[in-house]
Amino acid sequence: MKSLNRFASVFSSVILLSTLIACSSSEEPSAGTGNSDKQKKAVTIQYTFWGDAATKATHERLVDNFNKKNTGVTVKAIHVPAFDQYLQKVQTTMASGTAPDVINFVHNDVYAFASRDVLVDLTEWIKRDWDGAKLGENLGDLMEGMKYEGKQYALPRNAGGWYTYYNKTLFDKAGVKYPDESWTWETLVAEGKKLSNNSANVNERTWAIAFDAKATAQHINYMWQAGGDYFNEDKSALLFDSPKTKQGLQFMYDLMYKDKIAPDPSITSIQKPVDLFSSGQLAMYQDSMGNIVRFTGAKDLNWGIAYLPKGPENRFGRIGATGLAIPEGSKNKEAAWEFIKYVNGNEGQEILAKDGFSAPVREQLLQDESKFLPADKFPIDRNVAIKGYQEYGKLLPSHKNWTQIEAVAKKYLDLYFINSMSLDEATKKIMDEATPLLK
Amino acid sequence: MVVLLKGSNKDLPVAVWFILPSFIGFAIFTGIPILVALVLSFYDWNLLNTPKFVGFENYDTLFRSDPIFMKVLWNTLYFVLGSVPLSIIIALFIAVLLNQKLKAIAFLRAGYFLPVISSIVAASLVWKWIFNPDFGIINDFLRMIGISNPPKWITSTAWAMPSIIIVAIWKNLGYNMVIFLAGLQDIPKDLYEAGEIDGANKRQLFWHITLPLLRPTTFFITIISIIGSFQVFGQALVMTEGGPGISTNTIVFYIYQNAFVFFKMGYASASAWVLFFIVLFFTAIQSKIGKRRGAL
Repeated sequence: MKSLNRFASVFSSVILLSTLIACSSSEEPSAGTGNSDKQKKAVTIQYTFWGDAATKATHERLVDNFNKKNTGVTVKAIHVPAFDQYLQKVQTTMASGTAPDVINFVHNDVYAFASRDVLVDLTEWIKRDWDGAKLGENLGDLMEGMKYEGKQYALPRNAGGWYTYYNKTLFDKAGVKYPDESWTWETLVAEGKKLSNNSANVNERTWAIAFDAKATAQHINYMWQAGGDYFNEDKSALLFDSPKTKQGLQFMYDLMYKDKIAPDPSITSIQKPVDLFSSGQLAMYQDSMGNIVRFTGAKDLNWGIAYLPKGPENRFGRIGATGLAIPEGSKNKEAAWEFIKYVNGNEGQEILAKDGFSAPVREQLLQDESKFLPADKFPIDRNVAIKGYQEYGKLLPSHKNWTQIEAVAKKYLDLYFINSMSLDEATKKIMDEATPLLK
Repeated sequence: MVVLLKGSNKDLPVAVWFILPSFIGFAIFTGIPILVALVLSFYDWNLLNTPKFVGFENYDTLFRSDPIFMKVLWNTLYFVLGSVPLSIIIALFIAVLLNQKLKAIAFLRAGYFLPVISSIVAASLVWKWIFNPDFGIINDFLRMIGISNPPKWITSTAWAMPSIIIVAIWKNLGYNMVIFLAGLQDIPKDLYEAGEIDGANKRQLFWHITLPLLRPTTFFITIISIIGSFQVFGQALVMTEGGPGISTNTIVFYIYQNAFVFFKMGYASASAWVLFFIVLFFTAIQSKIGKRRGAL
């Protein structure tokens, strides 16, 4: 058995050459070199990220600006349109040893990848040339969110809060005051009833609020707002069966099936909430900061942004934070680090903030009215945008098996939200199936 | 290939050269990956770290402690049983209709064949609209004929699989129909003439001449359809993402999910090999039946 075992492992390692390549070259960060020595050879590195066409344009501009600086490092942008294909691509290129040198990750993917020892620990490099004033301005939560076991594996690239986008025309028509900080779940239901129209004529129908058909981005906001969460403090247990978590999920369900002010998944699986909002059929749409840019360009849409309505405990909304990391397989780690510093630094952040597609990760820039969401370009209340992000924003929890845990949760929450499984049963299934993944 | 090697054909060297490119392509892009998958199925590998040998653990988990896999197998079987017989019967029916001297026959044939060459992703997106419970054309029609509470199709656990089966039948109909048409045109006309002289009516001609002589064609279509149906993936990915819950999660979708969403390559490879044996099993049975009835 043992020799068979050995044979199998030799055989596989020959075939899976790729993994070996991925782990072969490692360039240890050493303090004191780098900066003093500018005699580096010209190198080209690859930077990969995902996003829509506007995001792509923004990042290509960022790369162009960096390349013009003639640091000896040339960056090539590799854009992937959809996020679900993005991680597949990152992981397969890592396996074949052809991963890009700089990879953009959602903060909890930084954690998951770092836990598998495939990212470069940046802690020493940060200490070496990114301390004091340069680093100090990074928002602390974001830095914290990109750590694994106390070590820093990425520098923040951008972030953004979660807001209620509302259609002023529908509010005016229903005679409802625009949502503000006084709004709670109760207000949402009471005013929501005035805003929705369950007309038999589908063309006249309007909804107060909507969620994506698949239990995705939003359910965690409602869980938080009721005081619930995915994990307990030390992540030794899941909290799906806690009364508070359930209360948040129940609230979403009630909006669809009891109060009937939100469309159920049979509608949103075909017409996304964002489309309902854009076509004037939805009064309130909750999503990330990126939509400020999207709606600013929209014709015939009179809109504003507000905080999320406050639940029994708080009004948290998730922060979409991303950071840049270097894979262990990169052959140009120092060059990659130069680019990461540029993006995280003031100049890079200014370029990213200018388009308003997300919030800068540095305090000073965030507060600078001329650089981030200038009033002449964006017709919104800047203070809501900033406070919604800084005070009411919360990072998604991290776990090395996050993707699998999330998939289990979605699978059963989907069934709950289409009304074919009870809440107790769905949360019990999640507990049973996802608890083994905590190990 | 085997037949060629047996005989002492002087065209053999030429034939080998013609086959070679496709054979090399098959070896590199199909043969080697199949072998790698076999090896991987005994490993625990997340694409990032060095694979860890686990023996038969993946297979053990599949059959003994993965409640989803059993459901996935059942879903796949449901899909095969739902789509294969119907798509064959309807295709035969249409082929017989289109095997006549009609005006615009080429246009009609092309029309039925169109779904085969259209992209499954694009088609699935259109079907999502057709199945829309509120605005969809199907439910509009159902309401018109007096059904006040039509199904919610792809957003209902009970109706999601039938929806996917409907799309699959629509998609494969044209292919099966074309093969049947070819088969029909191979049947000698004089057999029908002889039958008519003997006083057989249309139905008798069909049952006693058309159907028996189509047997090799039917056999081919059945095998191809079953193999294809076991590998249903596109519709499940685009229309329902395996949902709601796991109601349209089929074997290939499950393989994809494990390999490229959860990055459990070993586990996915093990499932792939299970699928291979299932397909092999069904093909063997059919081949036996086919041989006995002289279809081959």
